[in-house]
Amino acid sequence: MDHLLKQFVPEARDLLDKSSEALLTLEKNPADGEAINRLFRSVHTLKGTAGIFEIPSFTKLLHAAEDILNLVREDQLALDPELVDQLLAGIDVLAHWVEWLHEKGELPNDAASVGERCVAVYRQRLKASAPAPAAAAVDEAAETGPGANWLATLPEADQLAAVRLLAELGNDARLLAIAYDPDPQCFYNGEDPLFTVKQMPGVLSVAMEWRQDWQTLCEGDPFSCRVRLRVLADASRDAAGELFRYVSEQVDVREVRLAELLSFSVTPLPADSEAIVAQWREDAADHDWMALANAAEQASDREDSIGSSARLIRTLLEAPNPPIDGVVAIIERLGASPEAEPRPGDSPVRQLSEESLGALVLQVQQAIIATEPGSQEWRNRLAAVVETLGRVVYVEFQRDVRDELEQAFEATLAANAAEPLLTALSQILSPAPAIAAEASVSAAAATVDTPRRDGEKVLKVEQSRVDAIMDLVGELVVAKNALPYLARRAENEFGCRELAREIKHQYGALDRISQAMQGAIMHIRMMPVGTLFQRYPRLVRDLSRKLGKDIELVIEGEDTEADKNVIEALSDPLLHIMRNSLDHGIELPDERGAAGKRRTAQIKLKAFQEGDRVCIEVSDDGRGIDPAHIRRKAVEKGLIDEARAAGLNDRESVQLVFMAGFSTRDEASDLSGRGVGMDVVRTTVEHMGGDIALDSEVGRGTRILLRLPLSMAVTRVMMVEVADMLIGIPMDTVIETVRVPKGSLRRFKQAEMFTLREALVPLVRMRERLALPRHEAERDSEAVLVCRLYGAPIGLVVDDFNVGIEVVLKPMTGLLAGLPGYAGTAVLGNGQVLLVLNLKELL
Amino acid sequence: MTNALPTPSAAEAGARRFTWPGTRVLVVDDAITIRLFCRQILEKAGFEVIEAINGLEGLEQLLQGTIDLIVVDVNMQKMDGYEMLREVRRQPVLSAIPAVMMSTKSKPEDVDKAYAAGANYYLFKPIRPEPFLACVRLLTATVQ
Repeated sequence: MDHLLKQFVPEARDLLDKSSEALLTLEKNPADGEAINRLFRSVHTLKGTAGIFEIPSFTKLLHAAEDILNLVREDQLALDPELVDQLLAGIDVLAHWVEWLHEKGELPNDAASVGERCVAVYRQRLKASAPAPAAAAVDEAAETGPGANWLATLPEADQLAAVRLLAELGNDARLLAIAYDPDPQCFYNGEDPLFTVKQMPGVLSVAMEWRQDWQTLCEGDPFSCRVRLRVLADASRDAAGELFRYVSEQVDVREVRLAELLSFSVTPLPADSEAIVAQWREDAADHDWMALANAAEQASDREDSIGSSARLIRTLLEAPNPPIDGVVAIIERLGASPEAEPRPGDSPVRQLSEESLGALVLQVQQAIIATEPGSQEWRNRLAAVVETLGRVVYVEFQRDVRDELEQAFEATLAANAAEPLLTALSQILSPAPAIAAEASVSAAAATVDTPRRDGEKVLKVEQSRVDAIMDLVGELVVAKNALPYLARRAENEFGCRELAREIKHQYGALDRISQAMQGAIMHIRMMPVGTLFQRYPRLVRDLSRKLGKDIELVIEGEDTEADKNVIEALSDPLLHIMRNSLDHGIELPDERGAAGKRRTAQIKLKAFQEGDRVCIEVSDDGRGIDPAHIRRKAVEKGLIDEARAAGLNDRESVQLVFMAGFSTRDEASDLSGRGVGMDVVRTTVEHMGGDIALDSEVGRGTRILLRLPLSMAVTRVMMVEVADMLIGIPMDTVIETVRVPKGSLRRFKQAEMFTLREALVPLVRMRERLALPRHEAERDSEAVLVCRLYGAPIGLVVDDFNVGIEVVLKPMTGLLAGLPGYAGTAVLGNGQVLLVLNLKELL
Repeated sequence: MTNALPTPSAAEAGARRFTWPGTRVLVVDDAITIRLFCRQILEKAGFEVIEAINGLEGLEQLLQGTIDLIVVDVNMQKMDGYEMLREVRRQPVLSAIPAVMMSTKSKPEDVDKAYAAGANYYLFKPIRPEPFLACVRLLTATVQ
């Protein structure tokens, strides 16, 4: 992909996100001036940037949207939900295109037609909002007489045909332009306007336009003629007079020459027309028709006004005796259109003259000198004007006039009037020899304390690059872990205690650095959860409209940061929770009203950090979960038996929603989806090393709390030995290590446990659990790793403890991927593979 | 005045001759793509390009080193192009640096507003490589 385009894609995505965010804010609070500005700025920036690529559909759509927003900003158009829908639809289309640009480097094939449709919708809104008097005025103007202005709207094919014909006929050729506005009652007079027109000899073009805004079919009178006919024909005035003799008062016939046909201004000009037209002008001025034909050929594929002009020029130049005035007229009208009115700063070459960019810049400076002389702003601007003049004059005349200018500058400042500079400038620009002037200038520069302000500097880097560094650091950690082994070998095998100590020392240093590095990179990967949250306003809006519910979404703590992977992995579970809440939790407005609640429900999405965990809380003030209902459902579905159901308290009952295969709604709605339930949410969260908690109160609402590690990149594990194997236990579950004397072990039916600070801790023998051979010898004491599982301590009986270590945990792949009980594998410093357990699955 | 001016081609040739290595152009635009676009064109032509994402950062860059020309967008957060140019013109140490404003806004009053704020020239977006480069070359010409 093109380098620039690659840069454009993320930027465009960002701007589109911002746009929809601002749009939704604005819908909620139409008076939010900051939001409309934000929205406008995003769209505007995107339009400006998109302009440098050849994606006209994209730019056009943005342009139309900007027009709409302009009206909204000026309070001429209300931002109703329908308009928001239309704008959001446009944003969706653009987002879709951006992804195409990303993947294919171009817009989809249907972009032009899709874009046209969107633009048409926007234009409709624009038209509807146009002030009524203006519309009437236009109509009135049209009523007074058609003139020949309609030629400007001639379909291009017809225009080309006419131009070709005129070019062939030679210099003095004319065509007839006939504007026929039939009497609405003409059908009753036996007239058939269309038939009449078709009788005309040499017809080149017949166009019809509505007499006025078309009414709906039921309103309109089908027996009145509501069209106007516009005809271009190669015929004599007499022939036309003969044909229209009965309706002569309704017909305006005039002769047009080539130049008149081409004299209509062209709007809108594409923004890049400047350079192209300049090139054409230059070629025409040089009478280099070959070059002009080539240039026109090049632009003839374009779909804008430059393209149609190019095709006209080509057509003219193809004629056996090319009518040069016609060509010049075409080029002229491109410069003479209202969009491109001559003004300082316009196209480098405005007319077929010898003016250069330099001349234009000089003119601009002259104009600046002449504006508001004497004001403070004027004085402030002068230094740059003088500097600019010096540079441009140097280029244009190869003369160093800085001294003259400086002098005039001083005089101008002293007199507080523009004249000295203007006079000096005209002297410099006059062909007369330069006036020798004495330099008596002191540098105006003085050091001034300018307030320094903080600007944010942002470096945008592709995720994959950061990931690559992360992987490398992971490997560095692994390589680093090899050093202790090396030290041990140096000491035990080679007897070099001194060397072993040095290696250990180096290890310490390396360990520190790699940890700092890990931290730093981890920090790069941190991103605010706001990036995740920002899609929910749209979701809530769309779904609540669809469900007929009235919901307000409150977002808090979107600045809370977490690792990008964590945030990405959270996306689906959170989406599911939100949908559940919207679909099941929130009642319809009437139901809420009947229950004495506010009709507008609230969903709150809140993020905060708690130690090394990021917490996300989704709460709503909906109907809550009925524990009795949950118990009944669970029994019905055979998930638990009646006896157990009866033994559950309300809080426990609610937790049943996390069981696999639980779905409370009798008919699945199309929103929260089928089959995927809260159990999937729970599993996903737990796979990330997090946990999920649910609270609910009937009639008051539901609260779901997700707690996740800040980062998933590096895991600290505790290594233990079991039957000569090293096994990893995630450090975040480990509470402590204890050695329990044999006598302290208690047996309670089948279960073993021991007392730890007056609390009973159940024991699990890892050898048994992992189906490894039992100990042969009796042991005096057991090594017990006390871990926290579902909030309660549990003791794992292992052979011995090893050290805690940081590893890059890789999930199990291939055949082992489905194996429950393991969180993944990690490579140790000596190359050995460490299996890391997932206690929740294993126990 | 028109008569006194050389033909465009001569001016173009002249401009090329007066570009010096180490000429520094500050490009201020909140759109990274535009900044990159300018950078590509200008660096290829031998200019040194400094970027800023808004007016504030632009001012900071200006205060940090010698800049020969400012190219600035209109719409930006924190501080827009007009404000930045007004500030530049108010500061005696900066006020003599020529500035080109670029924008999609093409109404005459937009152009006037740019000149009033302190721009010395105005380019319409989308900017095209050749006119852009020609303009930068002309306005950065240094007298030996």
